[in-house]
Amino acid sequence: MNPKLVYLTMIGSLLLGGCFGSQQAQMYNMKDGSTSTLVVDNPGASAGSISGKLASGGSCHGSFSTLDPANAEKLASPEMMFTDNATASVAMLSCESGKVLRCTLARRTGESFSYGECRDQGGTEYSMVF
Amino acid sequence: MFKPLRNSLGILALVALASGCATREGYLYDTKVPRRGAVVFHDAQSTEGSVDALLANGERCTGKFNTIPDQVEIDDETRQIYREDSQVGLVILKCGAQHIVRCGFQRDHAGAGYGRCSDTAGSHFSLYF
Repeated sequence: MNPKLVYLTMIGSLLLGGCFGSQQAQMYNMKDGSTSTLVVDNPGASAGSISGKLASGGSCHGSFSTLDPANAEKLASPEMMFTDNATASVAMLSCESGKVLRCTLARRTGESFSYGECRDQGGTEYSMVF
Repeated sequence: MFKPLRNSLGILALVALASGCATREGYLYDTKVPRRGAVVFHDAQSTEGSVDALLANGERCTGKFNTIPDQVEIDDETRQIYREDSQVGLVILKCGAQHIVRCGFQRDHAGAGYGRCSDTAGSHFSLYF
C-alpha cells in the first residue's frame, strides 16, 4: 500500500478520534439561562488547554487534567455523574471579568468529552453537553 | 389531567418515528406538585442524541444528551469494553427564554432509565423513561 496513503489515513483517524483538533460546547448558566461557549483543545488527551467566552463577552483561559472519578464527583452537583469505567477531568479557567471557573468533565476513555459542569467563585453553575 | 399530555407525547413520538429514529418516551415529574411533562429521546440507542420535551406548564423544550459507560463487560484478553450494561449521562433542555432544564440520568442496556433534574427557576423534577 502507498505509504503516503497509510500516513494520511492514520492522521485522519486521529483527527476523527478526537486526539487533535478541538471540541466546542454551549455552556448554560443555571442561574440566568445565558449561554457561553467552551472550547477544549486536544479533547482526547489526558491534559490540555481550555478556553471560553462568557455571555457577558469576557474571555476565559485555562487548562484541564484527568483525575479520579470519585474525586470529580465530590466537586460536582448531584446531576453530574461519573463512573469508574469512564474518564473524569477537572479544569480551571481564569476570565477577564474576574470570574474563576472550576469545571468537571466526563468522557469515554480515549474519546472526546461527553458532558460537563463549571462553577464560579460565586457558586453559579454552568452545564454543558458536548 | 394527563390526557392532553398523553396526546402531546403521542405527537412527539409520531414525529420521531416519522423521522426514522429509535426513540424512547418518558415523563418529567414535578417534585412539588402532582403534574408531569413528557420527554422523548431521539437516537435513544446511541450514546448521544437529541431530546424533545413538553413541560407540565405547556412549555416546549429541545436539547441533547450524552452518556458515559457505567456497568460494563470487559474482554479478558484485550481489557477493552465490549458491552455497556448501563450508562449515566446528562440532558440539557433549552425551554422558554432563559429557561434551562438539566437532568442527570442512568439507563440500562435496553434504554430504560431514571434521573433527577433541576432548572434555572429552582424547580426540581424526576425523570423516568
